[in-house]
Amino acid sequence: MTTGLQPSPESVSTTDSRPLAIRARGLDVGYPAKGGVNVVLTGLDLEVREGEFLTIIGPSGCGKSTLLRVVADLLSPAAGSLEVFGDTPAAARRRRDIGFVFQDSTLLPWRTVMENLRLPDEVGKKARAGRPGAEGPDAAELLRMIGLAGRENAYPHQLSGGQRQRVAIARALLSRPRILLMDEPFGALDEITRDRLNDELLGLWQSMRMTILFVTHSVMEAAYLGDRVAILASNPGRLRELEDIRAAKAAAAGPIREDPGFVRSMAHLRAVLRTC
Amino acid sequence: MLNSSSPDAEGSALARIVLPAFGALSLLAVWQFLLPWLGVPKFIVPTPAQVALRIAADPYLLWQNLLPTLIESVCGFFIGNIAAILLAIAFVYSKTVERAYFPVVLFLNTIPVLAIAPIIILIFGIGIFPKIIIASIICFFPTLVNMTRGLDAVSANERELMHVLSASPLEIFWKLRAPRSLPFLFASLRISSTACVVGAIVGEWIGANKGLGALIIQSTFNYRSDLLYAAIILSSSLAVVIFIIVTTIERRVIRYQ
Repeated sequence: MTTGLQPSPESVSTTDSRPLAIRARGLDVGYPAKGGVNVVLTGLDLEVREGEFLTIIGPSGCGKSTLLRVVADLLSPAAGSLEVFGDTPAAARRRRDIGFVFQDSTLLPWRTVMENLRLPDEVGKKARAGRPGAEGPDAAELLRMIGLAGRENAYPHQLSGGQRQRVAIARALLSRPRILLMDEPFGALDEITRDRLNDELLGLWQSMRMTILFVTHSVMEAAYLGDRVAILASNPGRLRELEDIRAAKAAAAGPIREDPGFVRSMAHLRAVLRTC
Repeated sequence: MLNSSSPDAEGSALARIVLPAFGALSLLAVWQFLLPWLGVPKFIVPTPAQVALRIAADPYLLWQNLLPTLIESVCGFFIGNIAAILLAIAFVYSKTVERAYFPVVLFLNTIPVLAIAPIIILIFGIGIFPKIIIASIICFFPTLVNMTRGLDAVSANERELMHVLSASPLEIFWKLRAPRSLPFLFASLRISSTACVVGAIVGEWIGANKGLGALIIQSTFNYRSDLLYAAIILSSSLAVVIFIIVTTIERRVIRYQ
């Protein structure tokens, strides 16, 4: 179940023949600061297979969001490399391989639900020029998938927090990204809504088969959603442990959240987190 | 009654239309009957009825003087606001330009319009053009400040979203910055909708033979107070009409919130 303190990507690749979606080698990320560089992430080695659901958890300042931002080409590595489908993050971004969901929905308040959903179709035309449009559900179909059919003309302020986040996810999915990056997308929601959205997200993931990197503060959420859970430690941010959690969930007899094996996995994650 | 909602709605209609109308009419009535009773002569303060008679008697004279003020106000409104919007865009895209010129602009803003008006008249003469410039100067500053803030009122996440979508700078401007700035822009347009009339009238005071400002000065010197009051009513009506047009457009454009 545990790959140990020193995660070895090779051990994953022997059991998983899917192509690599993300490959980080000795990744260092830092911000320029007074008197030098403020190191946020250091020496990160990570491989994520296409179609995998990886959750990322760790204390504040461990570089969880930073990792997502490097994949999305919002930050550049200071050292080491990060490849997305064997390419630079910038090339992947221009191909629309990347979708990003923020903690606040970042819906544009002057646009209706439908207009917000269509934003990805309206911008980035120059960068996408000459590339075939990705096949996938259109805006109306996505709206139905997230259960908001009939609300296309509502403005964001007329929606609940959970509905806004559903629209944000649908917007990210409109350009059919191969990788969906989610930065604490349900962090501001109440637990009931969060549990429901977790199940809806798993449904979308299973039907659309994209790779998901999901940052969260919740151990339950990390364990419930992820194939694997990446635990990061802080000061400086680094990968502490990669925990494969599929077996525990596959063995669960009843509801996964109450299954004793699953609860034991969560206890283990909490124990590791206490040392980060 | 706390628990009934329909009398509440009637109450709000009463509060919004009937009460202000009653307030205005009651003051006009006091004005109409109190002044003659106090013995205030007509050439110092006319009664509302005398002002109304003057407007009815001289519609052509008033229209002749309203028209230049209207043209100056509206032209000044457009020129001042468009210039401010363009400079705000330059400020947002070049911090160097902003650092160089924003302090100068702020300093110029502290000069009272009454002090600027003679300078403009001196340079451009007494035609309609210098009044347009004075009206546009009055409109310029609030819009420059608000528009610069509005175009910059973009959150870090919104910027990142546009980057992930590979949006071009032009797309970021039209899809993000411009719509973000609209509430800020309309806040200043509401200010300049009434200020532009003030600018035009101040310009006409300094040197003009036509316009409501000129009429105000002339009728004051000639003790034609009924004409003076008629000119004042027309100039504030002009400002109110421009204000209503601006707020109507604002309600059409900003449909959210």
